[in-house]
Amino acid sequence: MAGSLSEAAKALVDEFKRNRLTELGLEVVESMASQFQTDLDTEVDVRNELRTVSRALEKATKRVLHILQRIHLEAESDEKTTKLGETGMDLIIKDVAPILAQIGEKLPPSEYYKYADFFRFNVIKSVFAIGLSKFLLDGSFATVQFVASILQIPTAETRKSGGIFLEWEEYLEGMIDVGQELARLAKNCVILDNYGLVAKIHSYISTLTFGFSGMNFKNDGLRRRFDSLKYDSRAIEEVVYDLKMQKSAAKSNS
Amino acid sequence: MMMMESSNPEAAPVPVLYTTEVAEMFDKAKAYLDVKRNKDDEIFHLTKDITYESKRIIFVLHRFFIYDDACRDAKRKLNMLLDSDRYFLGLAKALEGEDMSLHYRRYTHCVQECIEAMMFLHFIEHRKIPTYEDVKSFLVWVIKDEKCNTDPSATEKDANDDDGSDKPQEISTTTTSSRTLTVPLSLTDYMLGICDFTGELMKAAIPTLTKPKWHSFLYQVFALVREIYAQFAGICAENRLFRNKMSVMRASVIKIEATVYRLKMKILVYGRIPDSTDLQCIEYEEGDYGRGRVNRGGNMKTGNDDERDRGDSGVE
Repeated sequence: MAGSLSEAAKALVDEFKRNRLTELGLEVVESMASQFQTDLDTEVDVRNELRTVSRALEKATKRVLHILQRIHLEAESDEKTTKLGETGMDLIIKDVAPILAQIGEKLPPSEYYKYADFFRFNVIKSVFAIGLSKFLLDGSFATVQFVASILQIPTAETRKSGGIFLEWEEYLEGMIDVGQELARLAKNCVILDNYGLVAKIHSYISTLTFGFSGMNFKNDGLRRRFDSLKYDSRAIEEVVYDLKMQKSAAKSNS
Repeated sequence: MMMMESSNPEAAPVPVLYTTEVAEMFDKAKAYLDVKRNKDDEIFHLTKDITYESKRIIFVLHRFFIYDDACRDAKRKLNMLLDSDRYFLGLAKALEGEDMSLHYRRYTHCVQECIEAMMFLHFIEHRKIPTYEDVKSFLVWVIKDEKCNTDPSATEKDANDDDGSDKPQEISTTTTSSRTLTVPLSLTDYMLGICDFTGELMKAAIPTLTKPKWHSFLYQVFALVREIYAQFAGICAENRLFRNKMSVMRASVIKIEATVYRLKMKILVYGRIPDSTDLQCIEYEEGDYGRGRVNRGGNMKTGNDDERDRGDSGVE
């Protein structure tokens, strides 16, 4: 069959058979493929390590949250709330902060955002736990510096190039979680006859909503969380309003 | 209604929580988030423009069969894309001093698209693919800031206003200072760019079946794409970033192989290289290649043979 081919056709058929690897610069592809494989392996290692540590972080934060849930059952007196706040804070310092330090060691330099999804959720939960504990301890507001000092990580302002830090979004989301929890706590305080705490909660949520209302949100997750904070704030205001009404009704009845 | 005798919400003084410290903190948060989002917006718009412009360059390059100056036009456009403040240089300036991992997801696609255009141009010109280092070197700029320093304080202020350079002292003492800007390119980006590039090669290669002048181009594409696929299949198959691109690349490989097979068959049947005057060839070829394609992955159309590809389905 090949005998009947024209010269040009023969040449073309030969071309297809020839190994053109070096001529096309294909050795580049080969060396790159092996380099990529090693890159991939190191990344898999980092991911596996971070996954393990993040699981430990999740366990530790869950434990704190579990203990702080008792607040809805035991908020009848200041002693009990202070004690719960102390326990929560101790657990964070003792269990959560060391794990965050470990994560900071495992994070490759300047790749915080690449791996942040591993621990972001639990950092938010830790911020929540600190914010709530601080409120239970002395009714005051946990600033970002305070939260960062408890977690023993730098804030976005004080961070150096590498490692873990407390991102503003995470702090703010954690504080919105506190507002949500306090909305529930306000009603439970009334049930448990702890009216003093309701006033504190009201002051707290006002501060929080006022602080948030000054910010420019884009249509993102944080903005949606802020919307929920407005509902929580209203729920608390309703409890305060009900108490006032009750008080004035009692006054006019007597 | 009997419970409230002892209730007194105002028994203890409620502390004022909105202290200056808290107010300052919220101000800081606001400033931080505003800066972060503005930067994100800026990068988003830059990357969008870069992507469009890269796609345009690829369209220009696809005309290289019929239009001799296609490469020159594309090169001019590519240089403009790289050196314009509206495109890559602007992106490099926007990324200066930023945390790259934060913006990576935003700019990776436009970098891939540009690499695709760069490779396509390089391949048409030199019949080779540029190395990772070659491509990287395109994404580095050395910027010279020329300052006339009659008044050092004014210069220092200018330097801060103009470019946010963190070395104002240096600028005030020397007339010219240079700094290096980069758009960081990861190996993964480069390889994803190659994956897209094979799709363009397929689009360019299939019409060459009826253009004997370009048959050498066809077999070069044939050799290159097969080699790339063989190399990538081993390492990227299970990687989530590559999964879709690999199935698209597989479709391209199969189409190119079908085209070469068709050409080989014609050579065997006619005993010479068919050209565009062979009406029989053209009719035979119409809608017939790619028959051996394996349909996998979500990116490809499914349908019966007649509706199937004209050589461009399954490619973004």
